[in-house]
Amino acid sequence: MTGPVKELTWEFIRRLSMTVPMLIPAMILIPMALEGLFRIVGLQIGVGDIPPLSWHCVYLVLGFMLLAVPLIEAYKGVHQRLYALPISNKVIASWMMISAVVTVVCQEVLVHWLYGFTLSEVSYVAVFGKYQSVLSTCQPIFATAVCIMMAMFWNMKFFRFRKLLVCVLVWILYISWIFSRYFPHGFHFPNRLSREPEAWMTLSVTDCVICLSIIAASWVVTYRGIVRDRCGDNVGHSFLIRAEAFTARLLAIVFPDGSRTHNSPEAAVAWHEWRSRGRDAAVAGVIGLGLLLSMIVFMGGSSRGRNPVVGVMLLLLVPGILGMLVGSVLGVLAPPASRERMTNFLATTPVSDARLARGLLRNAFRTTLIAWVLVLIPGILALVASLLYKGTAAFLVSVERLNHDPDFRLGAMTIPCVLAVSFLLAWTLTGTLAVLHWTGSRYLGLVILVAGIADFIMLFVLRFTMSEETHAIVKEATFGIVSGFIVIGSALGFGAALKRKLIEPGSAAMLLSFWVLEAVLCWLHVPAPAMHRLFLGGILILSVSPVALAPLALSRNRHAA
Amino acid sequence: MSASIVEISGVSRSFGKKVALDEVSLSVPAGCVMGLVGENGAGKTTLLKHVLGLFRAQSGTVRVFDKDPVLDPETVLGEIGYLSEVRDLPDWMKICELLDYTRAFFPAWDEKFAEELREMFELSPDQKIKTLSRGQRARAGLIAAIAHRPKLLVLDEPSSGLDPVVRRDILSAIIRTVADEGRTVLFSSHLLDEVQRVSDQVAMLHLEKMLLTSTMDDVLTSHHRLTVRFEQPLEEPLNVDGALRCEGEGREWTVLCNGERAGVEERLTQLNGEIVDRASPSLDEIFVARMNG
Repeated sequence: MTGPVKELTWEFIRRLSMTVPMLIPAMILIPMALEGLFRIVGLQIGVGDIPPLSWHCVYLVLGFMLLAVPLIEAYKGVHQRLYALPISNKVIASWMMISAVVTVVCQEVLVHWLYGFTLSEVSYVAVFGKYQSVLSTCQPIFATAVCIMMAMFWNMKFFRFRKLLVCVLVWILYISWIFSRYFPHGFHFPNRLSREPEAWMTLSVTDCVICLSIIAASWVVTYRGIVRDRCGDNVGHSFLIRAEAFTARLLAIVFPDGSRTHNSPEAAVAWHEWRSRGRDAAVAGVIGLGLLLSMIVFMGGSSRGRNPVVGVMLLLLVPGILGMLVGSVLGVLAPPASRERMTNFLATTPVSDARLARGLLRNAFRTTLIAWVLVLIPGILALVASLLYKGTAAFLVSVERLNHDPDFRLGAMTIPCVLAVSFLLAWTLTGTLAVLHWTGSRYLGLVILVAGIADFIMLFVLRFTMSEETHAIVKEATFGIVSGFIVIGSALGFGAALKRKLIEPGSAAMLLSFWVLEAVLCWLHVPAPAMHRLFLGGILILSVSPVALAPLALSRNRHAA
Repeated sequence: MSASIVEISGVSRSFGKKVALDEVSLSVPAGCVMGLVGENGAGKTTLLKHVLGLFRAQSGTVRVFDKDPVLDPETVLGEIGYLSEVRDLPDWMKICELLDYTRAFFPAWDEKFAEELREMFELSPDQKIKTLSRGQRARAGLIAAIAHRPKLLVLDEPSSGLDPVVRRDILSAIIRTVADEGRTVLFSSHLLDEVQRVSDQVAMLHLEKMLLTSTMDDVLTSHHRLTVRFEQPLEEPLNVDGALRCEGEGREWTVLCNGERAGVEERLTQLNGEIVDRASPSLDEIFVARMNG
């Protein structure tokens, strides 16, 4: 192979190596997670439950989001390597387009193939039916979409407002064309129980002409963008730069900074963390996760309210876990804090470890609260939509049944309690994860995760090696040990923090009283065996222990013990 | 010179099996400018991080303003201005936000001085840090480090990768200004001509140990550079007892020694060498001789 051809081939391999490892776990985990959630609430996907192609659309969108990754490289400087090669702009444009189309089409086939593994057989048939040849029209969709995106990216690098309008118009036309082919009778399903996909099973001559026209037009536009970019005309005009500035202005309106005079060092630290991560994370998180939640709630909003406990569990878990995801994974762990060691900038601020912890905890709490609220809003909207569209919603039916459940004894307090516990869950997870992260140890979190998983695996394996009664005893003992370990560890943390004067005795007493209150409420209202309530009460200490453990973790990190 | 601002005594530090500092002791008197020099990996940054309390001493003690910087970071760091080689200022901040943020931690923040420096360095308050050049970042960091008029200024490779104009700002203008006000400066640098120019004292780290600590004048006057000419070209490298370094080829050689000048001169004469020049070496020459010695 000659030099440029060899380089281009390597570039193509790099592109694949960048996307495929990301694609496979995502494609395995996302469907499993979604289907798992449905099973939790007893809404197992069955034939006829879901309108044909609706799930298909969801998966295609997820797949497409991943397939768009190679295009982002237009902004990542990958092209600088290409620009240094002795090849013309036409060759670069053609290579980019061909390799993107080939990558996208191949990956799409791979994605569908992976669904065969990740979805159960029932769900697979429910989603795709027996007409898997529907994929034959997906490849042209992806091939043309990737071309439009490429043309858009390369030209948006030299931003003009009219270009944005043209882009929007092009996408509207394109999506209208796709929908008109998939849903020739309008966006509804005359026969919900039909397993027959509505239309567009094969490409017509007109379809081929439209696809080829899109590809040709995209090539021309991409080529022009590359010509402009290669000679440096795009520098400083990037759409992303404009978009970032616009978002920053928008965020400043939504979350005004107020006075720039910080009242205290803690306030300054909290502001720094909030502006570094929390603010953007809260907004970014709600866009993706809120939509996902809406989709889950909407699709699960059938009128067949089943087990009230699982219904409420979903309402508890989803905002709680998503709030934690946004609050901690993005709000606490996101760059630049993703480095294990604290930055010099933060470490050399003249505040004590206790004040530093207070500032960081304040931000973690604020981010979690905002993320939780933002995630909850689309959920509530989806519930309302479900009510309007389907007449009722499974969660409300569940809550209604729970109101009258003698085991819970919550009555009218059901919804406030469910919401409070949901937030407490988000905060507990966020706080615990934050403390683990703030220790600066790369492996601590991993070790705890592996130990937790190992516990479950051990219990699972033991199930086949001993009698049911013995296994029950072992299970109780394991939960007891884990719960005891958490309580003792937290107590030691409180003791160490008090000894090093990282926490006030009054604050420690107040936090521990709150924990006792939680444990008592749990004992009174959770319909579970006594031992389980005891364990749960112990674990609840994690909702307050971050306050004592955070300064210790930060001290360890800051002074590199 | 009065009492020590920084007192480091027998500090050792290892990272796994790698020893970073081995029984290092250092005393920085109040009001002096101390230059910390050493080759890459000698432990300069590690030592400065001990001063800032970013590392807990595994053995030995570190006292800054007679306090432990790990146990009392609030007091110690409140009197320190720090500029790092790694300019990890938050990219998203504007200059004005950086100054507002920093001000919150220092009751003695001098707003007027900060504004003067900002104007002197030609930094716009609305500029974001990510849009600044390397030199501008150093200047922004410098304002944040000195506008509260710290008693101790700690600079870790402050001029690394900077152009001569910024280096002049940092080393000549700032360090001398701070020192002239009776404050103390502790800085590490690879640029030995600058260390020689601005420092009152110098500390030399070599292979994780403190090789030399003295006043700059003492260091310079206690070392000698002798230029020797031999009658016949030497066939083998010159090796003289008491010399730190012998360099040259053929008939003309340069010998660097300390303290024992008379003895070295005598030995060179015995080798039929003629001393043609006696001069004081630069810190750079002393550093190279010491490191290789």
